[in-house]
Amino acid sequence: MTSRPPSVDIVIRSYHRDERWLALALRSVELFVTGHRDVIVVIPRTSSTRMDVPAGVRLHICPDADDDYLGQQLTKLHADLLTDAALILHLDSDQVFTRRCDLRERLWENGRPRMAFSSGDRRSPRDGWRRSPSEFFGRAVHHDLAVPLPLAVPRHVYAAVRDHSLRAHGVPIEEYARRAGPAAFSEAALLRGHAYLFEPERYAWQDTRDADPFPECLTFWSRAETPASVAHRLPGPLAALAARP
Amino acid sequence: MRQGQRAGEWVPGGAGEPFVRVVEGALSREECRRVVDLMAGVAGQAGPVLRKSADVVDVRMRHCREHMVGAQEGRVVVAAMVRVASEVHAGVGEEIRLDGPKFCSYSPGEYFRAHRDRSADPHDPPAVRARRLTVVCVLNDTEPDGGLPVFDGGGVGSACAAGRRCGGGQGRAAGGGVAGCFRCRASARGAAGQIGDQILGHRLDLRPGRAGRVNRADKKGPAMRNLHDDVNERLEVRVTDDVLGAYRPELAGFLGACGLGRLLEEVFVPLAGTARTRTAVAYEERPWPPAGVGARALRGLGLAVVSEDGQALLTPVILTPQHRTNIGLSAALLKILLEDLGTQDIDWVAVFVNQRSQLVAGELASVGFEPREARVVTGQAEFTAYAGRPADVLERLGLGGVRLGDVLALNLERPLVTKLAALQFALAEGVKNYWADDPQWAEVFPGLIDWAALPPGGITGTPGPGVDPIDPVIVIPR
Repeated sequence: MTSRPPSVDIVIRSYHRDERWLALALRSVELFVTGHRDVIVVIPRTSSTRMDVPAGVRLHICPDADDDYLGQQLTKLHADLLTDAALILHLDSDQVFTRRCDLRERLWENGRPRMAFSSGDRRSPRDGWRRSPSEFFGRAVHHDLAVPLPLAVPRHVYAAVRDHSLRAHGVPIEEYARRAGPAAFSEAALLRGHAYLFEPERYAWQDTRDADPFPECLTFWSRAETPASVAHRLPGPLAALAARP
Repeated sequence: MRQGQRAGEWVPGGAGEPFVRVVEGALSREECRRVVDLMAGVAGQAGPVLRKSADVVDVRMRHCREHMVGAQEGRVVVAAMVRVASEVHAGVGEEIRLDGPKFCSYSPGEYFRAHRDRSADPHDPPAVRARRLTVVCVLNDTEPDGGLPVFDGGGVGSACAAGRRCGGGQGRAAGGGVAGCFRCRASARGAAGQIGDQILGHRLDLRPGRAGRVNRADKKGPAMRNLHDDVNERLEVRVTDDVLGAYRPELAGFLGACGLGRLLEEVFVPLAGTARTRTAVAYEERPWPPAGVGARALRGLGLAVVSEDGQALLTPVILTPQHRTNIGLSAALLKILLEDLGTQDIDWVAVFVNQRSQLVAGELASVGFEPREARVVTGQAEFTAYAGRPADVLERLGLGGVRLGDVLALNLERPLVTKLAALQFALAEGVKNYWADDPQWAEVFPGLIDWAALPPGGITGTPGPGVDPIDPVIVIPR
């Protein structure tokens, strides 16, 4: 008798400027990704009147943030409130799957969720994002946990991070993020930081210097690239969508 | 159900999809030609889709035109559809009604992507929720010698005839020099006991696109974009109650770029200390890093000074010189400001207009502003308050039910764009002489009035006998 695999939902926090990227990402998930349950898209209220979200996803409208760069990080830190999935996979709008990816295989190793980190020094030890888990948890973190998404997190971690903000800093995580500012706050590093500092044995740690943790997924940079500009790097069905004006 | 199509059996539409039946020769070529000519004789409108119980034009989903064809002229199509629907429905024991048809044309490059004609949304019309069957009557031919536009499963012209079929309900037209693709579609629904006439109570319901919205391609062609589209897509637009606190560096840069740098110290700083304001701002963000000096640049703002008793004074939208013709942006700022004022329990918004103005007064009156008793008197001119209710003004402007994204993209009907442009240009030009310290020639007095410095009672202070108590009287010392 085999145990039933934990449920996985995909959460994408987007906004109006990434509308075309989002459509591309969702189409890539539709074409290539299996092993998940729902795709949840979260956009701020002001964006909801400026963009369409393709059918087939669960759409959540979140409040507007004065600084949406922090706002999108805070949305991710509350992802457990959007779904009851056991494991939540965070993708960005500008992340596109180009090959088949079965999340039941990709996200686990020997029954433990995979968690990425970097032992390298691509990011300086004094870098704000790299230092953010040390600053937040008050304990040394020698590795770089601010490596890019995708990131899969067990649902109990979110509440633990938010509780830590209240207990250790006396403020909700929103206020902590505002005080830290976007250059010194990384939601991915905090989520990984909790795993790294408090329950490392529960994860299969994967050094990004050794292997790409998500080789099926290409990460672009929506602030500088457009879907059309990267269409040549995508497989046929996605290239046609990306190239559309 | 088209000329030259193999007829007869049901074919599956795909796994889990309903079955499709093709019926040959339901209309003669001559009948098709007459309907095509009828459709070609009327301009048509952008075909809408049903979203949240409202017809909206969404060019990413549907890009074609719907044509008004009268009941009499379209009866041959209706009759053919009813014949087919009755045959399909035979033996079900339920009577049917036909919901449509819609007469649609597809120019090269146009489409209607995969979709469902039936909805499960309880807010949608019952007719839509009860649909059982879709009938599509293609008015084209597969061979060009019949004199009809050539159609081949979704493409038009020789390129498609060579094998570029389209599936999944997507009618993708390719080039080929023919007029385009014409078709009629209708849905039948179960409706026991509701038979109307001999054609099963059909109605020719050619629903127009939602007022104010239009298919972008209708005005510029599918590949054309507005001059300001790229930047408008990047802009953040929002309303703040603390423009000075949240955007002071950006405001300084913006006013400087507009040649109004002195207003920062002369107006905005003192105003922030004494008055309650709501300001719609549009700013562009630097790609990276997203914070720090120079990370944001204001491109436009619209400001309202608001009172505690539900009134607001508007200052015309100011745009940087590069955006002078960016009517999508000015309209978007006005829209979000008026919507915000509505949520702030603001009953009236007012603009002060030179008593000798016809241009601005006329533009404001055309969108729901009315002259009131309140006035500002300077040494050189007298300005009268034109006031309107925020929701009414939005509606009269045609901005009430339109998505912000459509406004920014000017995805609007041409008359509405003209109306918005006239209002913005009139207000923006009308206030310029005030900014130039020449109020005698200003048509608009900006609403940057310091409530706390007004006569006793502020702008809604003692109005005097016989004057509407909501009408303010303001006198600027000579």
